[in-house]
Amino acid sequence: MEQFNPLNVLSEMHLNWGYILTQVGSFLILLFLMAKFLFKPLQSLLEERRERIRKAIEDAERERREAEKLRKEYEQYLVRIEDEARKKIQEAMREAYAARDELLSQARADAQRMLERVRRELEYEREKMLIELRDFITDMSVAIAGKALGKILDMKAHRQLIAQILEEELPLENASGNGGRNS
Amino acid sequence: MSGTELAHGTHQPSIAPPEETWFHFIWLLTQHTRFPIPDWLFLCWLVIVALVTWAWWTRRNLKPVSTSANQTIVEWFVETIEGLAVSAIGERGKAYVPLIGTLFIYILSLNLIGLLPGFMSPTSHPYVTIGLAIAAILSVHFIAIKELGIKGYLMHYIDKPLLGSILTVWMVPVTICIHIVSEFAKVVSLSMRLFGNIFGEDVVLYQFALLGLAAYGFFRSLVGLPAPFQVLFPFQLPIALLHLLIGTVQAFVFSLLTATYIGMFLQHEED
Repeated sequence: MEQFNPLNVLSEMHLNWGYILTQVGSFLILLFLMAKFLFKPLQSLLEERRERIRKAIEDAERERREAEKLRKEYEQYLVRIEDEARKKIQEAMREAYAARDELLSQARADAQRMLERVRRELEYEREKMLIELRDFITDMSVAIAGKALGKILDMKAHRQLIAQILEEELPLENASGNGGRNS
Repeated sequence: MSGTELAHGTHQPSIAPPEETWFHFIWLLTQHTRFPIPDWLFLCWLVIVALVTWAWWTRRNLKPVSTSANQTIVEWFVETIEGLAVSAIGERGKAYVPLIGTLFIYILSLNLIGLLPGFMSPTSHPYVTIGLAIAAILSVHFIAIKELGIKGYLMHYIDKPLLGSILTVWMVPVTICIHIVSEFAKVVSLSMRLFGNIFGEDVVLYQFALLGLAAYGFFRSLVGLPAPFQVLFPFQLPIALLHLLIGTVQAFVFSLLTATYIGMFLQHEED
């Protein structure tokens, strides 16, 4: 039996290297074709899709954030508008109340003034009436006395006499200064 | 046993299935030429042509958004391989998806084609697995040289961390020897693991089928056996299902180990 040399293990196996190299070559050709036809296009497709999805998600996120910001802004805006509206309404109401008060007081004053005037007119009418009444009474008294006495002594003196009597009996209020009865 | 006998399937002990397929006529035609084509080699080429045709057809029907089952499956496959490559190699692993994916799909096809009647698994032949392992390890080294440069590639054999201390410089020749041996061991382990699994599977499959035939003959020989017992006994059926599993697992292991070897080379750069 010949001596077995471990270093000659490959040649001792009597492998047919042609077949092995054929296999290696076949595989490398397959690798090249598969990479060209299947893996490279698929990988770029998947990468593109991944990129697109990532971008879409980012866009959606950004838009959501912007919408959120806008929403907050509008909410603040609305709150401000409501505040302003409330203030304006309050202002208007206050003004309205003030106007009402003013109008009321003016109306009251006007009414008072009118009442005053009417009262004054009434007073005036009354005094006028009193004067006329006195004149009438005087005339009537003179006429009655004249009729009774038969003659009129002196018209002027007579009238003076009557007026004097009347002044004593029926004094004019204004002339007498007695204003207490008016109020 | 000589390499020629191994190549031509004439060495086999009786327990192994015969290496004869529908394409045995090619062997018969070419056996006296300078390059006889055994059945397993022709099956490899057949698988290659089928895969390339399929890949070409897939690319032609590629849509931006998948509408066909084929494209959905291919996308899932590529993404899975990508995840595998990234987990074994890192982010740069995406560039080596073609290598890992082709290894997987090629070995898977070679394993499973043996389940078709009248075919054999070419991976149950050592030349196929040795060739695949050599191609894989050559690719690993090519990638390492491309990624690390010649200097970085050679530093891998010295183990850079060892150079840190003067006391350990004497270890350099030892580590070089260990690394060279380990590279050969990788080829041997990759090829023998695949070959052993698929060959063993084929033998079991063949033997169970023979057992079924034997049982059939035995029951037929019994006189007065009712008709329901005069059937074929497909004892090999569970083994065929097991073959599906083992064929997939072995293809996966082969490609995963290749990815791991690439990762082992490239991690030096990160040290």
